[in-house]
Amino acid sequence: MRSTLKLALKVLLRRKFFTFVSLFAVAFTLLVLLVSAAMLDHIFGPQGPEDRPDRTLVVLKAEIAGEQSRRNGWAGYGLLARTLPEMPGVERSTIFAVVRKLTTYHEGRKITCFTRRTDGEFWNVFRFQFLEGAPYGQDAETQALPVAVVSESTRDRFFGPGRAVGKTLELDGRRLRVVGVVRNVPSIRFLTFADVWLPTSLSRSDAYKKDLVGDFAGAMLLAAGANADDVSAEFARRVANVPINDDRFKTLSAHASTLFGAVASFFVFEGLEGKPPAVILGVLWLMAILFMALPALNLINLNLSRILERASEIGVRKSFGATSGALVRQFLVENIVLAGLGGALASVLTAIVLAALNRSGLIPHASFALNFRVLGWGVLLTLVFGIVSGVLPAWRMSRLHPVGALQGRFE
Amino acid sequence: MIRHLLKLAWHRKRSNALLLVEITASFLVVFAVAVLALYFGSNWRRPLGFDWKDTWSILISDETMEGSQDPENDARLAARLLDELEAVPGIVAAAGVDSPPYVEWTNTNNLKVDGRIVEFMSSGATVGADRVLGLKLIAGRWFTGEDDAQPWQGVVIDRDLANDFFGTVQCVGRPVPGTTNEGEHEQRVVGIIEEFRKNGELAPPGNFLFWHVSAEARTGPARTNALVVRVAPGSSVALEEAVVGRLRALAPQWSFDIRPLEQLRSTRFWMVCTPLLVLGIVAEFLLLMVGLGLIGVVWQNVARRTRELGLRRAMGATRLGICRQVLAELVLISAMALLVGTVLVVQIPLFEVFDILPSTIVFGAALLAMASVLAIALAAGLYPSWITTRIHPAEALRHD
Repeated sequence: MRSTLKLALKVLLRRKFFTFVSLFAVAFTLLVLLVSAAMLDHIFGPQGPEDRPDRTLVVLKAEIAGEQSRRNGWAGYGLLARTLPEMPGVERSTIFAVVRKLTTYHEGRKITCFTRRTDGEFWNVFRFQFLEGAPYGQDAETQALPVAVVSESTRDRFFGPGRAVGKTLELDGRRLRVVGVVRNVPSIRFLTFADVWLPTSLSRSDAYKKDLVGDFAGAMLLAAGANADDVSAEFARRVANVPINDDRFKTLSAHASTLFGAVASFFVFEGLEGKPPAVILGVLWLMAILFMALPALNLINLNLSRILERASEIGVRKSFGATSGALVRQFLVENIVLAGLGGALASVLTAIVLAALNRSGLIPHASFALNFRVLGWGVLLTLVFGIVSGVLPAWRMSRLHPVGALQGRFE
Repeated sequence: MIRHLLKLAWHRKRSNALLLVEITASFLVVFAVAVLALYFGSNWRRPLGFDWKDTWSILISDETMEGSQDPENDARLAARLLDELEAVPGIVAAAGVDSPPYVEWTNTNNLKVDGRIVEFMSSGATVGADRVLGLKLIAGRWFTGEDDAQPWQGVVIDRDLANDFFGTVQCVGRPVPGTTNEGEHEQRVVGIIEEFRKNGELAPPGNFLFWHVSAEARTGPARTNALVVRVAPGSSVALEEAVVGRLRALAPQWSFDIRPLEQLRSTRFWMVCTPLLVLGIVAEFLLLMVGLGLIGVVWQNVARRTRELGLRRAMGATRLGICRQVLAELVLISAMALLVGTVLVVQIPLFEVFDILPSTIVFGAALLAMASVLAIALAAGLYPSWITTRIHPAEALRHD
């Protein structure tokens, strides 16, 4: 094995131009894939407030339909309030609104905030990291207390650094007292992200309580040992029993799906909602392999023409008794070493690109990072790439006829 | 000559096949990027139909999806808001519009006219919205107070929709097809505007219809979802704050969100351009990679054929001739790959897979992609083919 590795490095150093081209191809391909993987990890990975994805079921969309018209959108408060409470197998459940952009004027500056109305349980289903203060509880929701939890960056924009709990800010004509400050949530985490969180009941009218389709979402934290499918089925049964007090509509539909499925259908493809994670992962893998196809073809072509250059070496090895298997192995190892070098290069480049992305502010509060999960994917992708681009050339190499190869005849 | 080159290529069909696939794949990548670039470029060049400078949109929301309990009152209040706004110093004009330019939501309608489906976007608008948005009327007039008393609802449509509905822009006073029967309330065209591309410069052209919204009218909805306001050039945030304060004092049950159109426009622009830019950069690197790979392949190929090329030199072929042969072989393979790619791509307009893509864009993109792939192939072949000119016939013949 050591001699194979040594040989591989020697071969790579012999033709610098080819090594450079191959390294460039591998590093660039893996760079794009790693950046995508870091972004996907940022969206799907168990981090931030949504740290228990396997135990979280969410209800995002709802639709009511009749013969002539249909209305679809986010779930309505009325629908969720009739279906979520006291669900068997569920430890806690929360109803919270979709973010709304609100603008306020603070000391002559215009400040735009994403606000999210939530109940008190929201803070137990999703776990935020509090820098100071504490969340508001269910009493704030029932009594409509004018309180708010703000993110770190929002605190800085309103009050500057320093303690903010107890201070008040004006938002949409209401004065809110800050009770807690949390670490920023990236905007890509669209379920929990906001700049300011405040109690739902702090609305000017309570008309939202009747809506079946509206601008709310629900989340359930499963009790230990509960089966997600059973809870989904029970949710579906409850949805079927919700009365529709409107002659225009006949059917109401909404699903409780896993966090992963719901997020995937939101970002990647609509229609994936409710599909098992394996299908979604399969789709992502297919996309990655399609993207790798062109660089892999490029590398295969390069490798194929390089084999001919090494024909006499192969001829000598074959006439001294090397088996086809040994030659295939040697060539594959060479290719994987190359891919590994490219992968290492790609990791460094990825870190640089991600840091630049974070600084650019293209995605608010994004903190893309290379963690072990992403690097694991990187190693896996590197291996796949090395093998995919190496198998065909290796096979062709092993089939060269020794006599012909020694004489310089190739076909 | 070409027949001979074809024979040479056929002899090495196995390695050439993979090269062919690679070049075809590169062609498809360039084609995809070119289609997007041409598509947005052609949209960008069309007239916009409105003026976004020094204009704000103010979204009104009342925290319910079902609508208000008291539409009569809402209508009067909305009309008062407009009067109050126009009294604010620094505001030139104000009007109500349901979907202001660049906002994310749109109302889309389908009507069946003479067996064809005509699709158009629509929005309510009040008296004066044409002045605020700078719409250009080409026939008839914008809404006025006299529309209030009519039993029908006045609408203003753009030139494209007039052509789709009636086949002519001389259609002022005619009813909108389909609204006269079945007891639906009738809509009548009162004016034609040149164009209104609500989704901005990058969006595809579409038909547009404004219907009349007024507190006094006997038909239609009472208020619009949003207001548009033309302000004096160089207005500051202080004016925004003052306006929101005044609006909130008048209608405490509503929320108001001021967005200058300029800001909405740049947001929309970057939402479209950022993915396109990323795609373009990735494609560019892919092509660079393919180009470098091709250099390697051709180089290796030439090095291996030193004897053959040397023999041709010994038999009297010129340096230029050899150089040309190497390049011609490369171009031949590229041409075959481009043929395959074009055959694939031509299916798009034939089968109307994407009917929003006009065939001119598809063919233009195919041409662009062909030109760039050929350019890359030629550029990649230059250095290896130059090497062949250094082959000395006598040495080459002894070479093994």
